[in-house]
Parts: sequence; C-alpha cells; structure tokens
Amino acid sequence: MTRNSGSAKPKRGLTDSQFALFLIIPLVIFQAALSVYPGAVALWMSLQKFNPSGQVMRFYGAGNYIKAFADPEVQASTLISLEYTVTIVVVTVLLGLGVSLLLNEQFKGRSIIRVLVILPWAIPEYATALLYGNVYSQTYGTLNGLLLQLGLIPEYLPIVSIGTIWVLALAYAWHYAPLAIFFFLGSLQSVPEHLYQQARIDGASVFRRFRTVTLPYMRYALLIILVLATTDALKSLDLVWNLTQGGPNGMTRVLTYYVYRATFILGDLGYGAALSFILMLLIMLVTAVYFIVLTRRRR
Amino acid sequence: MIVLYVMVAAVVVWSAFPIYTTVLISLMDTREAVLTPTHWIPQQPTLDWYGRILALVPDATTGKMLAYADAFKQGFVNSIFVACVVTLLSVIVGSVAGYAFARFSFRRKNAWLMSILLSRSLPAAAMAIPFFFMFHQAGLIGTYQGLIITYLSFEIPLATWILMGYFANLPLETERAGRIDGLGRLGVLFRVVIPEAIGGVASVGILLFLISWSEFFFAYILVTGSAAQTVPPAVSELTTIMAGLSPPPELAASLVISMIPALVLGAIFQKYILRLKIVDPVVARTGEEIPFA
Repeated sequence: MTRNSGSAKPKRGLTDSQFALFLIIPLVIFQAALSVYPGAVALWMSLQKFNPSGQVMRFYGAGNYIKAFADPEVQASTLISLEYTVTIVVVTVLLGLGVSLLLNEQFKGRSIIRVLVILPWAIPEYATALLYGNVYSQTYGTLNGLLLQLGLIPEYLPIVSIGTIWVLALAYAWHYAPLAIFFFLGSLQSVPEHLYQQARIDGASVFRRFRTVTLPYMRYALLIILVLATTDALKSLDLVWNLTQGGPNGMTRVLTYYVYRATFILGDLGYGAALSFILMLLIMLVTAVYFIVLTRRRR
Repeated sequence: MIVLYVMVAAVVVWSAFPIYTTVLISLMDTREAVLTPTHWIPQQPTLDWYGRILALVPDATTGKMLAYADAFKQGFVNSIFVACVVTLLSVIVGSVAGYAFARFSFRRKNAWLMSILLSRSLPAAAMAIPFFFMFHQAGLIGTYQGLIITYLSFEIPLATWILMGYFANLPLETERAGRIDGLGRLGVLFRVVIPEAIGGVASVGILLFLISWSEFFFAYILVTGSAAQTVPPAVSELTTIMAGLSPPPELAASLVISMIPALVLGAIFQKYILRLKIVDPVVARTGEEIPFA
C-alpha cells in the first residue's frame, strides 16, 4: 500500500477510491464525534433512570420505552403531531403547486413578487411564532381586527384557543411553503417548451397538458418536498414553544414538545431520550414509506 | 389576465400580512397599538421603540431598558460570530466530502450516505439531550464552543449532501480538461471545480448562515442568559418572559430588527435557489426528456 503524503499532487499509487476516502476523513471525524458519539450517549441515557436533578440513578433497561408505549400523554401527543404534520404537508404542497404555477407566468413586477414570496421562509421559525402572536392575539391581533372589520365576527376571539393545533399548523405552513414554491418553480422551468406545443397541437386541454406534460417533471421535486415537509413538521418545536408553550391546557403539545417537557421540565432525561428515539424511528419510518410508494413506478 | 393579478395580489397579502402586522405595531405608541379594531396605518407613527432598543435614545425612567439594549447588541455579535464559524467549517468539510461522494465510488459509500441522511431525521429536541448532558459534564454550557459544536453536528452533513448533488450535476468535461492540463485530483477540486461551482457553494453558505442565525432550541438550552447568548433566545425571552414588563410595540421593534439580516439574506438567496435546480437525477444524467405520462 502506497504511503499517503498528503501533498497536492497525488502519489502515483493512490487509487481513485483511496483518494476519495482521504477526502472524506474530515467528514468522518466530525460525524463520529458529533453524531455517532452523542447518538450513543443518547441511547445509553435512554436505558437509565434519572432523578429530577439530572443524576443517573440506576440502569433501567427497556423501562423507559415500555413506559412510553403505555403513556397516555404519548398517545395524545402523537395524535396532535399527526394533525399538525398532515395539515402542514397538505397546505405546503397545495400552496407550492399553486403559487409556483403563478410565478411561472410572465407578469409585471414578477421579480419583486418572487423576493416577497421567499421572505416567510427566510424568517426564523421562532420569529414566525412571535409574528403570529401579534396576528392571533385575542386583545390586539390583526386577524381579529380584519375579521371584525369585514363583519365576519361580532367581537375579538381567542383564536389560538379555538383553533389550537390547526392555526399553529397554518402558521408553520406559511413559513414553510416558499421552499415548496421555489422547488416546484425550478421543476416547472425545466420542462421543454416544445412539449407544450406538441400537446397543444394534439388538442389537449389545459388540465390534460398539466397532467401529461408538467406533472412528470415535478414528480422528483414533489417527493423531495413531501419528505422534507413531513420530517421538518414532525421535528418542529420552535413554533409551538414560542407561540403556545404546549397550548392552552396542553392542547398543542406535539411529540417533540413532550420530549422537551419530559427532559427539561419533568427532569427525566432518560425518558426524554427514549421518547426522542421513538420519534426518530417514526420519522425514519415515514421517510421510508414515502420513498417506497413514490419511487416504485419508475421508468 | 385580471384573474392572474388578483391571485398575485392574494399571494402578496398572504405573504406580507404577518410581517406587516408586527412592523405596524412597532411604529405605534402603546395606546394605539392595542386599539380595536386595528388601525392599518399608524396615526401617530413613532420610531421611539427602535431608538430605545438600539440604545440611540436613552431611557431616563427605567435604566432596565438600557441594560437590555446591551444584551440585544451582544446577541447580534454572538449570532454573527457563531454563524460565520459554523458556515465556514461546514462549507470546507462539506465541499471536500461532497466532491468525493459526487465523483468517486469507494468502499461503504452507501453506508456513509445513509449516515448523512440519518442526521436529518434527528429532531433538535433529541440531539439536545445528549449534548446538554455532555456539555454539562464538560462545563461547556453557556459557551461559544458548545453552541458551535452542536450546530456543526447537523450543518456539516447538510452541506455535504447539498454540495454532493450540486457537484454531480456539473459537466465532467471541465474536470477532464483540468486533468489533461496536468492538475492532480486535488488541484482539479480546488482550482477547477470549486471556482466553477462558486455560485452553488455561495448559496449553500448563505443557507447555512441562515440556519445558524435562526436556530432557537439549542441556543435556548445551551446559552440563554450567558455571555454567549445569541439573538433567538434573546428575542424570545424578551417576548415570553418580559411580556408583562415591556409594551407590545417594543417587543415588535426588537423582533423586526432581529429579522432584518434574515430578510436580507433571503432576498439575496432567492436568486440562487433556482440555480440549485431540483432536477430528476435520471433526466440530469441522460438528458432525455420524460415521455408523456
């Protein structure tokens, strides 16, 4: 085996494979130290019983996991998380498709509008929560103000108490949709123009053209967005934390919020670690399902 | 045609409404801000709140405000510092590793790809637990290092993944030409590929900076209240903890200021995100058109 001198010019004996392995050394070091090691620590923690001041009490085996499956709050949180996630994904995809089609058309001021459209995504998630605090406020919120002036409501309403997880999901979708919009826009722009002309000559209607010409080019972006939106929504904590802290009477406690609560409020680090692994498995499962379902009918 | 412009107007209102709400509140005095129904244009606009947060206007009555302005400014400095360090390191490691994944095959390559993807399925809440525990033992709570290490753990894999896709879509001819000209493989990477891909590398850099700037949860867990506190926990604390003590317009003003860097970067990034081109890899490789469905 040739010695690796590390200079800019590769030694004659270093194969392409070995060169590549050399290139990924920094990545490997960081991954090992920052992902694998903490992951192992988390796994170890999930097998211990902690007392509320953060000390390890004793080895607990699968105790935390068993406790999680029987915990009614886990069941409630999972349901809330699902409601949250499904709403976000549906709204994101619909907005993504609709607005990207719109932005693909020519109109005056299009470039400025495009800059405006990406802003919700550029704003941090926690800031989105604080913004919507001002929109949803029961005392001075602008949504209440708008609805009142339009005559749709008789008086200011406690929007978050009424809409709970659904209005939170709407806020998150507001923040997240631009990603879908721009990914889909990129796909739209990759469709060769002459295919549209061919379809028009063949007498296809607008809907038919969309289905047969446009949609196939958007399949890949759609898969990416579905995976990203679902996993990010399941992982989302900043919004819930900053807007409702788990909501009026725990009505907006998503699963990630319970992970936070178990660890930092209830002080049971081992249980929190176990919950986080369960959540991680859920996310991986969903991702796998997407991939299997959506990449099956490939040419 | 009218329909088009109506829909565009709807999109504008949808996107701008929450932002406009907070900007509006930040420009009104306390009395007008909480009036119902809302005044859509402030009748007595004021920049006082911004003056107080930026410590341009001294507050004689409550010395407390001045103290917060200091923390706010320090938060900005800290956020910029952490974001720069993390972005720089992530881009360097990410482009080198991303190039390896894009252009070479090697043993256990798929395993490494899997592990990178795996990093993306970890919630912040999950990783915060072991990091919190480890940093607590090592005395790294409330330090820059702790926060930087935490951010690197998920930003390096992300940078690698995106840059890998970007490099893979570059034409091979330029690299081959570089080899023919006598450049070694490293030379090709640093003197041909990276300059050619500088647009993509820059957009990944902006994205990473935005992510570090916006990150709330780890920052809250690790550096709240310390000298290394970044902008997100600072602004969040102001709104959630001091809500009773600070009037809404002041909170709104601090929120607006904290969003400005993100908004600017987002506006810049918008041009580049289309260039990152989410194209079906089969199409990219073969150049063939997708046949009618």
